[in-house]
Amino acid sequence: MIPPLYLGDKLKKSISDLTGGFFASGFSGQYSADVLDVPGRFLSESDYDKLNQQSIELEQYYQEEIERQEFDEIFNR
Amino acid sequence: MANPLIRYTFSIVITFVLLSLLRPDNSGSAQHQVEPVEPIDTTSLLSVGETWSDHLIRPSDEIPIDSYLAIYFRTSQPDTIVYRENVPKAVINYPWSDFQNINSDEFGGYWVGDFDFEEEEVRSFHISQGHAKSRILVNRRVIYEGSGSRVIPVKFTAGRHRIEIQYVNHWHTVDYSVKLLPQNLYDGPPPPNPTQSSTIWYAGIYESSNRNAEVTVRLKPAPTPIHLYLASYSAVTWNIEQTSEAELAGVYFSSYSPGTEVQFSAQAIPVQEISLPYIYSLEPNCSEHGAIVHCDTPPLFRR
Repeated sequence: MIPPLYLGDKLKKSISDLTGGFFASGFSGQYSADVLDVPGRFLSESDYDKLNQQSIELEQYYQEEIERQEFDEIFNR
Repeated sequence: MANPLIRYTFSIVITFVLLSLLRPDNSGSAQHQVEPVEPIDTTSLLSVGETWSDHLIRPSDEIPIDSYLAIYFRTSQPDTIVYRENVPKAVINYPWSDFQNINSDEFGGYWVGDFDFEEEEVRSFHISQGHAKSRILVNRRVIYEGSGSRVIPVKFTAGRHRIEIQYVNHWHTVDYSVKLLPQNLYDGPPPPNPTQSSTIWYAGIYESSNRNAEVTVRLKPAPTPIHLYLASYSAVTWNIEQTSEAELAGVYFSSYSPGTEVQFSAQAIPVQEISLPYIYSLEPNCSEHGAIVHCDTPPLFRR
């Protein structure tokens, strides 16, 4: 079984594949922007871990949403 | 629904459904639909009898060369022009009624321009649109009509060609972009490979907040040449401000929607289009309400 590739690992692997083994050290991000200062912050190994954790939590969140809908739909069938 | 718990859970589900609808799944990287493979030869197409120009263009209007006259109106009142302007690109991006008080879900746009070609050339229309419909005509011949995002190569003969773009929006935001770009625009020499000492920075956004979909990138000083990775969901124009304290070695960009471009304030640097996940936040925006966790974040973290 192929292990899941969470977001931090995905970002790391994408850039590593393109650069021949190096990772991004600076990060900037906004949902919507007209100006972006780059980098907004520097990336540490723990940031990549945090992104991975977000992936896991949000997957869980969406799974719970699906289950929650079952509760909400019982009286609306 | 008198029970507050049922009412609350109902509202949460509605919020979730709305968020899912408002923000499309953006887990992917660049996935441009390129079709057809063969460039369209417009001379083989039949000319249409009528276009929007017959209703919207006045005899006194001058059709610009290599740019567009843009005319905006409400689709509920197509005979009343709300605003007109000359623009270099057929791009419009705004939420709700933030532009000329035109509600997004009744926005209509028409762009017309004459484009000169010194010799026969294939260029591609990079069309990016959401819940909307548009039609593109070259010399009164329809080369595209429909919804969704596309890249359509067209063969232009030497000489002047009239391009018309007709757009009807069906959503609470307007996010439309048509760029006519040379083929293989970013297939030039690749940027040099980074080394151990290179500076590697990443920047990601969902979309531009500018009406023309431009995003200015201001680079902070760096001790070594910068390899800059840019990622977006929407088609944007990255405008990179160059300074002597931030030397660029190469720029790489990724965009889910077709039509993203990179421009430089001074000297052009090698640019390469790649495939990257786009991330615009390191922190999730979630809150807990008793046993229920609500995340105001699109499902960008799904694989």
